[in-house]
Amino acid sequence: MNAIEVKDLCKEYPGFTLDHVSLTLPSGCILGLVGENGAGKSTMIRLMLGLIRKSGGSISLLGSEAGDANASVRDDIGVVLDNVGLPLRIKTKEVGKIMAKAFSRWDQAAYEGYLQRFRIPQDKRFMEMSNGTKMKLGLAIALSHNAKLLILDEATNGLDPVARDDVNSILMEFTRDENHSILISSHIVGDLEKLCDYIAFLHKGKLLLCEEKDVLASEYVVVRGTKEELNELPSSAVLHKETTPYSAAAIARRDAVPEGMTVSPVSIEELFVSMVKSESYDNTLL
Amino acid sequence: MKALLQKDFYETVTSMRAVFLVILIFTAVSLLTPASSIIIPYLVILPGTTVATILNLEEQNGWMVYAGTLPVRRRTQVMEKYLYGALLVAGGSLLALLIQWTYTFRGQAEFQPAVSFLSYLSIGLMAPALLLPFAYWLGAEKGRYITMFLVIGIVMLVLTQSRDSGTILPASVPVWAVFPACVVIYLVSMFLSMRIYEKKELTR
Repeated sequence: MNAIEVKDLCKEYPGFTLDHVSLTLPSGCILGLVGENGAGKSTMIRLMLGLIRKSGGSISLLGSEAGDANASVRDDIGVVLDNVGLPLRIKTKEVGKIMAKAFSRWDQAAYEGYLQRFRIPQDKRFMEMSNGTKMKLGLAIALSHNAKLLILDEATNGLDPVARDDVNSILMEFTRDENHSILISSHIVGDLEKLCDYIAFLHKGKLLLCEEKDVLASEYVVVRGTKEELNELPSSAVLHKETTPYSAAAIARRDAVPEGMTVSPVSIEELFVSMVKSESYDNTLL
Repeated sequence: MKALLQKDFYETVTSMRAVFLVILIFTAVSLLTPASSIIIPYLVILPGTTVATILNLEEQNGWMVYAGTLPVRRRTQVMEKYLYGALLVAGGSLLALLIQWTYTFRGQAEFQPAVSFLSYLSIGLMAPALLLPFAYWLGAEKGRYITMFLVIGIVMLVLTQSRDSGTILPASVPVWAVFPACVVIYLVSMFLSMRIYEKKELTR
């Protein structure tokens, strides 16, 4: 079963359109949603959660149609958005009591374990926490009700590198169960590269691609050489080219690179930036 | 529903201590000074407006969006606000009844507990019935202004009409007819708020 199935999803705002986006997240996998500010990542996640209404298309979460009518499916979904909207004066232990009544499979021991792991005191009020600690509390809640799917919108961005590494380990542990899946959006592409099985690039409301990370890594390479050498590459295979007085580099399809040229693996971040900068992506990829 | 009620209880206790303090002072003043009906409308109307204040806080701190990620339908979220509002109004009305009862010892007012209690409930329920649809429709900021004008209007109306009537409804108004009508208005308001909130886009 697929954890998430999105087909032809559309949302129109004045000045922005999420344009017929389709993607699938198989169970047991992690999908990273990459995009610059305003690309539509948060809009897409809010549509999945039924927080805003779609203009068209369909969304299925864990086999059920997403939306307010199927709110019970959210019992199986742990969510952390960019703003963890808990009451400001509430204490950590009170949050646990509320969530125990909200979720049918709330695990108080797991919650307390995460609070300890993230060093969040039980008596701390939400308003007294740093942004990073608020985010950790949101993660502790999302991970403590035996969810099958985690949806994380920029949830690790406010964390320091050590905490982010810890959270990444927790997320890896979470997906060891083949019924568990994660959709995560982030600006920190390096983290997504470590974590994700699938990568989706969103740009100006359009999905540039949604592909297995390993496939992307095998399909594209960084080619380095002189400007003249790079001119030998077929233009249709080149996503992006940058030249300086001292060097030249291009990101291109591996199968189109002539033998003998110097190539190196491409990172997801390099690939994303080159796709966004390239004006030819819609000819070569869509 | 229980989770939301518990959250609102915490929110009320922690965020509205100043309101409780004012109620306590007013109550003490009304018990220690010659009988005055000023505290009664305050106790009856204020609890109902508390749910609108909670809604304002929720919009400011992002709870509305967060609650949208919990396994609770939006209509249940609205229903909880109306239930919580009714419980607060009932509590305020009981306190008001207690204070009015003390007036009888000072021989300054006729005491009709059932009539008084129903009249308190009727007035008290009208505050959230009027405020919540506006708060759900227009949002916290605009809803707050409407709240202010409506509450001032209701208080002025009650104070000018209720003198010497022994209840806070005008003496000519039959409370046995008014109370069911107010309950119906409360329920209609709740269904209206549900419709509004189900269509609302929760973006922040």
